[in-house]
Amino acid sequence: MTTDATRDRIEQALATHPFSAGLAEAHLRRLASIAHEESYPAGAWILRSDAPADRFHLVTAGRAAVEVLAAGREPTLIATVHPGQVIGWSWATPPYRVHFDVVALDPVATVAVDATELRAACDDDHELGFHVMRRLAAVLAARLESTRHQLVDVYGPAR
Amino acid sequence: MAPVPYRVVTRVVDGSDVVTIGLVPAGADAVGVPAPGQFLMVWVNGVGEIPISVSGIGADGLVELTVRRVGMTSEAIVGSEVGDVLGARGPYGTAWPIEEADGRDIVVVAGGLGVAPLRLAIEALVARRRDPHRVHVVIGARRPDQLLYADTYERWRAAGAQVVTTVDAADRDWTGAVGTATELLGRHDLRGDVAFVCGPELMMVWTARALLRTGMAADRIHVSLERNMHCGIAHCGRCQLGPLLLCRDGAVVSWDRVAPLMAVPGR
Repeated sequence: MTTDATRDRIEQALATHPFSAGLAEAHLRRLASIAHEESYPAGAWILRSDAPADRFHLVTAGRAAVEVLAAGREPTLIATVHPGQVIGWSWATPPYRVHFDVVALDPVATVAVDATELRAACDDDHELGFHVMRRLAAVLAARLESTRHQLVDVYGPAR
Repeated sequence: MAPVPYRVVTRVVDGSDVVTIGLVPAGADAVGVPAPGQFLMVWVNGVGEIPISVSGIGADGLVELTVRRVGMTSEAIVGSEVGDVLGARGPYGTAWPIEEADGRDIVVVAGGLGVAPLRLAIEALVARRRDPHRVHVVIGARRPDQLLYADTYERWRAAGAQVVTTVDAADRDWTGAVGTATELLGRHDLRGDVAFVCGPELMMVWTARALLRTGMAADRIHVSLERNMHCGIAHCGRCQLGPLLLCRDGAVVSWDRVAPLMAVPGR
């Protein structure tokens, strides 16, 4: 049961989070209506690879690590996610299953938006959908750029 | 033009292939006091001479040089022991425009060994900082154990600088970020009006572009470029980059002057 105070807090968090800041008030209210607060202790899984992508997390506190796990090898930490960033984009594209594991490195707090409801909201209101997808595209572009930069290994031995 | 003899008085190993040596004049002669960002031509008898940015200065004419083993001369310098004598001439080149940060927020971005030419600048910026103006220092490396001068970050923080670190790879024990410096520059709490950037050239190009995206003016972004500096006095032309001779016009250059040159492959 979400109280009015919790709803206000979520609306406030969405209004100030870099991903959603600047959205129209009606859009913020719509997002808040399908969101709830979540918290994870250090070491807890926030997302597991291949699980249904049922949440879109806006991180408000703590650090998380995006990892690749495979049997017989140590986890490979690909990136860290910090307050002001988001976790999870698999919810936006079929088959809506998580691509990477994400673990809380510190106690992590998020505003978690229900992914099924969010897709429906974007379908219902294309203006909201446009703004959400444009912002998500910026997140994806930044991550792709960063990944390509890391592939170049600029700090490695001269080639 | 003749090198001045300097004696190695300290030698600190920083990772597997990086060493910081402290040198003092071996006789009555000494090079001038280097400004932050300037470099010395360092000579090893019978081996060669290379440019090295000064990473620290101290009493009695002490200069510190942080060197990575990449070629014969740098290998000889890295391998030098306390008591050995090297030659030095200079200082040469342009300095970081420290005074440009007065009354402004500054972002210092250092990657890999690029922290070395910035260390004196960071010390000066921290000492000159006045509220509400901020000094942000973003330091990138391949792995946590390759972050240079890691034991000085807390002192810089205590003096009011925001110091954040990011590496390309780490395990869960790492308390900084994993990713790139350019990603961090997107954060609102790391915005500035002026930037000093030093590191591998691609990293500087990406960083300058990321800073431009934050609205920073190109002439407020300063980078430190290296080419094959040889004479140090703009005579031989080995360090030419377009119209610039980097031993004289650099190593520290503003981005508005070099951006068009950096877009030409092979330069």
